[in-house]
Amino acid sequence: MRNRLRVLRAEAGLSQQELAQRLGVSRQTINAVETDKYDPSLPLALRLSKVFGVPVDAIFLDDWSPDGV
Amino acid sequence: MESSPRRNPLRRALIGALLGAPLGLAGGFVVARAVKRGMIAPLEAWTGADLFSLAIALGLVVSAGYAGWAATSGRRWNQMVERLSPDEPVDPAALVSGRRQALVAGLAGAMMILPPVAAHAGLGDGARTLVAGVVALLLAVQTLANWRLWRDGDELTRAVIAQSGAACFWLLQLALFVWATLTRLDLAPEADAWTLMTVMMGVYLLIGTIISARRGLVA
Repeated sequence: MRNRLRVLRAEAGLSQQELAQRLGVSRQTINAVETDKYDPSLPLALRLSKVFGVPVDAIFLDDWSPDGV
Repeated sequence: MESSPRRNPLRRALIGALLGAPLGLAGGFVVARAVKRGMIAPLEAWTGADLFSLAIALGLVVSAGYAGWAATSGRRWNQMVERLSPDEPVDPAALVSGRRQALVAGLAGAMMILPPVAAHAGLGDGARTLVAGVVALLLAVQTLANWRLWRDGDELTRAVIAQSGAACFWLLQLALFVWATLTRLDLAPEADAWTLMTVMMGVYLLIGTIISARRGLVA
């Protein structure tokens, strides 16, 4: 899933390793999410939302809408 | 710091071919010389499954050596595995995981090669029982190391393990059903247990490598 994690992390001045340590995951996991290779679990998505102080849908971008438009 | 942007896949393939072609040429030359000098005569009695398990074992031992060497220092780990600058800080848990993966691969390599080697060595019952005991011990240690890899791994590691297992189960049960049907109808030969195990291991390694690369677990 497309996401703004790399941008948000850069704005926060965090390295992948620092963010990974704060979240309790590996650096590869952060890199895999940023490069759209891995969609994180719901708990990890919520933790990312808390770390950056933004809603989950401000990190992960989904084009789907309930109206089907 | 973060990983460098991924290079063009075509460029990566070309670089891999340029580096791999001379290695393949050298390897082929060494094998041809060995055949010419009769050095591989002892392997002539080996079945296709035995030779395949030998190839898998060699691959596992080489990958274990690579991971084990890389995990001996943070600088090496950054350069050989993470593709980062050597001076970047390293998560100690990543080094521990690397050592465990090296242990698991090395033990798997030993367990893949011991049974066919012992089977062709003309050993007596006692010695073959001893080999079986050694393999059982290695299997116990490897199972423990695998369990700790799962327990200490984060969600990406667990996702890759689970997806590899699911994909392998689906592929292998499909293949086994087709094969069993054909043998039941006398349209294909029966397979021995070592052949089935070797095929399963080969498929698991291939699928695991593909999924690890697709999920970004390996660079």
